[in-house]
Amino acid sequence: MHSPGSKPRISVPGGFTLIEALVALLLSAVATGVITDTLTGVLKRSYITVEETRASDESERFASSFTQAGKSATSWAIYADRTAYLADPVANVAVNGNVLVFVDQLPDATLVAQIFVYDPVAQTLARYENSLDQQRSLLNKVVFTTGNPTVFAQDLGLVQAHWTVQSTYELLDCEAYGTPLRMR
Amino acid sequence: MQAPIIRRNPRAAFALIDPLIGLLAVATVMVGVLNFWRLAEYKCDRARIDARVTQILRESSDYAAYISYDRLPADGAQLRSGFLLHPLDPTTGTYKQIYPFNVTVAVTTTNAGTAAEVKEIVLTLTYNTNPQPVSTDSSRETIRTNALTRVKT
Repeated sequence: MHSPGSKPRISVPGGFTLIEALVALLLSAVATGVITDTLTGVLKRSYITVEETRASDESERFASSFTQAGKSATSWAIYADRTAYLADPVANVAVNGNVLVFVDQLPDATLVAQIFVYDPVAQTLARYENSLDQQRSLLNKVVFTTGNPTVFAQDLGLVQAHWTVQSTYELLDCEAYGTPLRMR
Repeated sequence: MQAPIIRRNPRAAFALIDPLIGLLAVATVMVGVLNFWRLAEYKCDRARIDARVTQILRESSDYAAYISYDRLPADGAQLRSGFLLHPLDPTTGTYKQIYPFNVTVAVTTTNAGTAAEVKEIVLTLTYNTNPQPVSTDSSRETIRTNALTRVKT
């Protein structure tokens, strides 16, 4: 209600115009996009780290089994490849190659063989127990480490293994050493 | 006397300070987001570096523990060197080499030349990393292992 003598007021709508609302919408879209991209990037980076850690841990477990088998072995031999090992395990022993066999003797005279086989075609490094039918662990995407033409070698009074895992995001160099009882 | 009534123009939108505050808020959020990203990157890098350092020390310790006594490296010798990480570069499709490292051995010999000769071996791993995001971090780090004892006989 207007008092007598006062001027009538004209109501003017004071909200946002269409263009202001559109600009605000655009700005919030950009901000949301940036934040979403960042969160996605952080999650992807975490995922990559988890993948790399998993691949690294697998190789570490493999190295651990290698060292453990090497320490307790009563006899061992290296072969050029799987064919050479299967053809004649006595005559085809080599200084370096892609198959390594550690044999341990239990107190009851039972022999336990740990067979490590690298397949350069399939790029797999596997560990078998007693026979090539009983696979115990497997590494994929394995290639030779630079400077090592084979995975296994006898050098410097050591049985050595050098391999590289070519994972999706990183190259993982790995080494393992062992000294069987007969070499000490 | 009545005080003059000041009426704002109802069509006037924002004052200068309003968009400035808005810009400040957006800038603060952007800086926070960027720092969050850098921190996440740094933590992931550190996790990989720590895992790799542990692996290298384990491998080098195994080497020093199992190599025949007569072939133990001399005092001050470099046991190995290389790069901590080899991440894939998506643009070139090749693996990069980052964070160089080297492992040296310090050998202390007692009762030298006798049958009771003993060697105490300490491995030292030195590596360089990216000091980001905390500028006070050292880019060069050194880790020494406990002494490993090898007996001649």
